[in-house]
Amino acid sequence: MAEFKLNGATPLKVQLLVGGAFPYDWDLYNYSPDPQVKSKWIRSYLGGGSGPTWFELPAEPFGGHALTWSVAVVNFDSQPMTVDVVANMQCTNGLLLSQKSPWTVSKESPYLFVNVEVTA
Amino acid sequence: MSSLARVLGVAAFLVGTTRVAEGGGGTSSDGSTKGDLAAHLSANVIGEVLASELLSAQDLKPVLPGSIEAAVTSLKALDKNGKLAPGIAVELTPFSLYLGRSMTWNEYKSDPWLRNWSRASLSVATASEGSGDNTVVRSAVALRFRLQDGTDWRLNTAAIDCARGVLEPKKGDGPRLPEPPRDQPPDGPNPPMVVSGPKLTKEQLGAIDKCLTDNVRWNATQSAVGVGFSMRHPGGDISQTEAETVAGFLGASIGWTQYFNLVGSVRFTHQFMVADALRTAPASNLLGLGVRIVVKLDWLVLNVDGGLGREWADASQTKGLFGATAQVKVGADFWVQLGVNWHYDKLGGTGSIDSGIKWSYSLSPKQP
Repeated sequence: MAEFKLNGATPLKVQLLVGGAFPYDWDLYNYSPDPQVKSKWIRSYLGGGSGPTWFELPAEPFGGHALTWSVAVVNFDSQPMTVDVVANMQCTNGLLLSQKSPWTVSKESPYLFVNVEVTA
Repeated sequence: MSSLARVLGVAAFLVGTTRVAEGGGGTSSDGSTKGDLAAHLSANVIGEVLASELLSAQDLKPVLPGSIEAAVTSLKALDKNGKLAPGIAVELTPFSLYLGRSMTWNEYKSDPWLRNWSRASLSVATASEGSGDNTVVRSAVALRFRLQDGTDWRLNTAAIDCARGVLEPKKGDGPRLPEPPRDQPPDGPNPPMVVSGPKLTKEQLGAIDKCLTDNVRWNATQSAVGVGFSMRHPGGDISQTEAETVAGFLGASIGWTQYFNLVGSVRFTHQFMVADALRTAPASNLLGLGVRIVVKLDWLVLNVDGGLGREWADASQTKGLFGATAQVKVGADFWVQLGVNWHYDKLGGTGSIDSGIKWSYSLSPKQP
């Protein structure tokens, strides 16, 4: 899984960029480890937005958590297109963490999930 | 609608033709290049694949590579055992190859120069003439630059909002999109960064397509310029390449309300001297202007076309056309078409005018 290494910093906000000049909307989820069952996660909904809007994270420790964006891309193009998907995280000390992955957008598959693990 | 109706729909009958001669007949002396002038008189905004238009091979289905790797693969198909392969069209845009890969929708909307530049297209097409030992492969390379494009869905807020309604049926403050698994991130405990979500159903895909057709105006404003160069390769042999034409295009379409559309285009072509097994023609210059006015109502589609062109060659000629076609709805699924046209031809010192009248009918349930 792609990783944001905090190195002691506190995360403030996150952003999701999808290339290809596609309009897109997203919902953001936080996965925290289940203290009862090892290797199980507990999902919680953090909020939603559109496009490259920054989302301010709640003030809680995110080390050991995973963030997942559920994304819908509006697309009328007939041909598939390979684009960059970028997740950014801004931290308190000015640290900007970034992860990038290619993804092929097609009209038949407008939904995607973007996963990033946060480590302390 | 049944196939019978479609067959009937294309039936047409010429019911009258008159000819008025001005000082004698005007037949072409070499007959080899004169047909090209007629193509300069029709009004149209520059098409998607300009290289195919240069070869009069608009039926070629173009390949639109979505990455540099795909573009290289597409262009490699032009090589057929060391010879140029016919019947191929490729359109390359900076947007689909590299610029668009990381461009956001906001950047695309807010910067017209970046938008138009990224959608400029370089097209390559090949076609063949003749057969056997006398085959000549023709190729063209063309560059098209959009000045304005009212059909661009990325600028169509109504179509985008409509598609959002299909993709995000849930309303309210909570999650609107497909939810990931409850007890682990999508695709397992150690998933890749990007995982595809559910695919659209056939009904959803149909609804998305309808969002576009319902919200793109038939008379959307568009304009573009283009330049192109075509060549001839006897036997497909690139070492025997000879120049055929170099051409420049300008086309625009302007819509007014939901009823009117004005289309205009100018086209200039320089034809190089050609001498091969299939064609012999002297050098010439062709310039043509075409204008079309379209009026569209629920019960009537009226097209008025005008065009004027001149060819400067050993035997210069002038062509003009004026035509009007009215398609009238006379029943729920029944349209009648009536057309009149005049063609003017002047070759050397002589000219002639042809006039014609045509009618046809259509059982198509859609407006023509």
